[in-house]
Amino acid sequence: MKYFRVILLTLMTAAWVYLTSVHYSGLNSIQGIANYHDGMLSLNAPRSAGHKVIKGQGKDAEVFVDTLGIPHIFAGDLQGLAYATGFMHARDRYFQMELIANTVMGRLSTILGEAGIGSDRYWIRFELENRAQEYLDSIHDKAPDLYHYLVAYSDGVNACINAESARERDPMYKIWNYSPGPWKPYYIFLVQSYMSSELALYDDYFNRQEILDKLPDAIRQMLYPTQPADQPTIIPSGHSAGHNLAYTGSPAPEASGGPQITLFKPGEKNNYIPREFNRSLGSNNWVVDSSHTASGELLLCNDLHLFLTSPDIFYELHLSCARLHAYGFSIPGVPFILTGHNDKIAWGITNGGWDVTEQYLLKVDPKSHDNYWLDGQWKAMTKKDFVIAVKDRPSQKLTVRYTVFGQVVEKDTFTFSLRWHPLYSCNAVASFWRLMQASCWEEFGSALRYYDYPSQNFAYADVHGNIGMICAGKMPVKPEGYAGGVLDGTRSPIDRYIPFDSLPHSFHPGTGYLFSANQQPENGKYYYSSRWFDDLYRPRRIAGLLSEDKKVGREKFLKMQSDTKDLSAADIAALLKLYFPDTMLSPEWEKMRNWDGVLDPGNQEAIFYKVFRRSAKIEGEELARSLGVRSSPGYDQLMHFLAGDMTLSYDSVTISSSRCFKHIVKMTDSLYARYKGEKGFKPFDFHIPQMTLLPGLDIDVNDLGGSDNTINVNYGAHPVIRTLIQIKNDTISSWMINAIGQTGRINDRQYYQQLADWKKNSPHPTQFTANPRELKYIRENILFEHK
Amino acid sequence: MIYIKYIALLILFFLLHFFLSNTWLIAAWCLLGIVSCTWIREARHPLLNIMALELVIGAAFWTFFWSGNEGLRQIAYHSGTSPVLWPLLAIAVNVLTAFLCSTTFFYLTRISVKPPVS
Repeated sequence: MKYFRVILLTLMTAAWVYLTSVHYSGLNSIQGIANYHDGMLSLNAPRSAGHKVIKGQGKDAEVFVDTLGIPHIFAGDLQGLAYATGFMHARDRYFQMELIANTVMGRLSTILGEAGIGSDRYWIRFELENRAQEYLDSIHDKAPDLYHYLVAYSDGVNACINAESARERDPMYKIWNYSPGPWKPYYIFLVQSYMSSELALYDDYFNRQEILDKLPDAIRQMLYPTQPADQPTIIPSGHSAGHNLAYTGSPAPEASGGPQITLFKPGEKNNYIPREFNRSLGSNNWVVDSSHTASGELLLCNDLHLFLTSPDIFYELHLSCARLHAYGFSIPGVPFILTGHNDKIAWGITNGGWDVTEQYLLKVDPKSHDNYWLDGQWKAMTKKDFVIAVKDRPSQKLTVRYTVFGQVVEKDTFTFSLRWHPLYSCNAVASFWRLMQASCWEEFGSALRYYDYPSQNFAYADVHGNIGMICAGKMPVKPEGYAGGVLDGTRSPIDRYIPFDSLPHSFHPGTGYLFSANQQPENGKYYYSSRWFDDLYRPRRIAGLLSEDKKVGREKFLKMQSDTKDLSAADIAALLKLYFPDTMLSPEWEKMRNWDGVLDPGNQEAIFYKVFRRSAKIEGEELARSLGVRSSPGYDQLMHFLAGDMTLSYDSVTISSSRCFKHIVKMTDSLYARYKGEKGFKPFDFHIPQMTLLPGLDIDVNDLGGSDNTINVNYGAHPVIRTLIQIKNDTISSWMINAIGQTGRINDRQYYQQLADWKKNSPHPTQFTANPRELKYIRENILFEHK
Repeated sequence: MIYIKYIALLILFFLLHFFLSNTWLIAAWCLLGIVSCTWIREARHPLLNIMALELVIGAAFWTFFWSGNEGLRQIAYHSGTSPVLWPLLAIAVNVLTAFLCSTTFFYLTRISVKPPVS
């Protein structure tokens, strides 16, 4: 009995020691977290006050950090600026920087363990690390200034990392049981690739192909149009400004393209499940000239809509040296101002969303699956082997085949090649480098001449009173009549791009204002995308507000940035009038007839509207099912169809706007009756997850309104930053806000310091001064000196 | 005499917590179990004393190092937890591990070493 007890005790102890020492999903063990020597409790709070002198290999620079954690960097030259920027980026966000770089290199599993394998299998086949190295080598001779700037930045990052002891590191390193590695100058190109993927690596071409193959033009143009009709384009040519209701006008024009190949026969099932893509990603920017403002100033606004995590991806920065004085938001890992201003010009960006991804259907040799048919002959695919290193687990092997188009992908029954154009060019880094030093429209244009990915719409204003817009990117030319489907993989790809001078742009438009909200750039001859129908209400709302015959000021634009009026409310009222002119519906529906569309989370109509949106989504899915296609029409498209009051037939299927809307009304009533009794039904609430999705670190937000149609987007994506820039009497002033905070360190008080102000859209005035003595609210001063 | 032994162990383990973690600390607790059986033989409740010893060390760390740690307060604030939760959990894990490891080795030693003839 005595021995039995001891054995039992030994087993219990062994089990406890094992369970508390094991690394779950790549996380540190309980013993690792709880020990006093180097566990969580041993970590020091970040030192962020007082005066510090850092002597090293660095350049001379001085940093003043204000109470929001924003570094104001003053240096003798550009390299000094880069060094100090690297130091500050690393101090506040190095874990995030490494996470992004490792994700893109296909090495996420070295940080997250098994949880990263899926991501690594996806990314490693792009071979982006090798390409990034080549890009850096290529600028060594072409742009030595930029090359040395990037090297100095990298030195600054590594100086910070090397100076930090394990106890001073970001707690994420402890939680994930990981030690930081060195930063290399070419990692900046990985960040560009990451953003290109986040913003434009679409995978829905097979679904688009199915629509092109199966549906007749009449249905396709109504529910899945390539080009929406009568919509405000970014470049103002013939759009009807001030026209607020989206779909009371004429239906879309005839089809402007069709399938390049035939893939789906009528009745054939499509089992292709595309990679999930957040459709709410986008942004707003608008710029007005002096004719539109009360006191003759120029105003430029920009808010970037991305999936919001803590920390978010942007970092506020002030750079000043003899050659450059700029302020705005950078991305950790990228030592440039991406949206902001210098002392001569201001700019803001929104996502272009162009089709820079292509899927080529391959004809594979039935005798040898490693051959494919190209230009009249069989060609051999090339093969490459990859090894994925996984933390605490054995490595994984992966073999990938490639064609002239790119990697070969087998999904469902299809074998296709993925051609992702951002793989072959990485010039955005050089463009932003020149952009932040530009001082006029010509220099702005020449900075963007070689800009490639991700495609962006750049709004512009300068101290000379000019405004403009350039939709920049390296857009591959598509075959004649292309409408967004799969491409023919038996012919060599077209290797041409739309020339820069043919890209949509505008300078000093007659309207006195310009804006972009991810809508179609222009009604020109080139194809850019077929997804414009996902974003129609938001551009309409911006166009409506900007074209009001009023002299605006800063306050009006701040209000506009927080605007939560959904224009589809007017369309719902129009639909009720159309289909239920004299019928008394439920009290909620009756209120909808006169609702202003403002999505306030406490408002009953707003809550009812959210239920309506759920019903509309279900109805859209049913509509797609009845038509035999996988993609359901988006909300904007569905409303287009409903407003048309039409009956369309295809094969043995008949779809009717009236029947659909009546069904939605019924479903909304029934869903609302179910939801309103539920205590936890708060349709506007959302959570901001920590960037590695660690449970317990979510931030709950429950007091914001808005939808995917409102200027203040609150649905899947959120305005992660907002800027407002004013140019008056040759002077540029700005106000900015970050949704979360400057630092990514959870043990720092600035972790989500700006959240409350972001919710109210109360941006702080920036301290854009070339004289450090004029800076206020400084709590830390760091001096970098040569050894 | 017994108290002197415990004071010596208290100081020793306080220092060990400074310099050792995970496997090494577990090994130290296992040794403590052996020592409890062979050296601190007079103690009535040697294993409970080890728990008490760990509690005192935890309390000392809390008082001297963690209570003024601003970073810890920020972590608690940003994770919506109480600032005392993290130290309490850490102490609990250490006390429990110390207790189990030393107890196991205490009994393993006792059954394998003959008690001295009095």
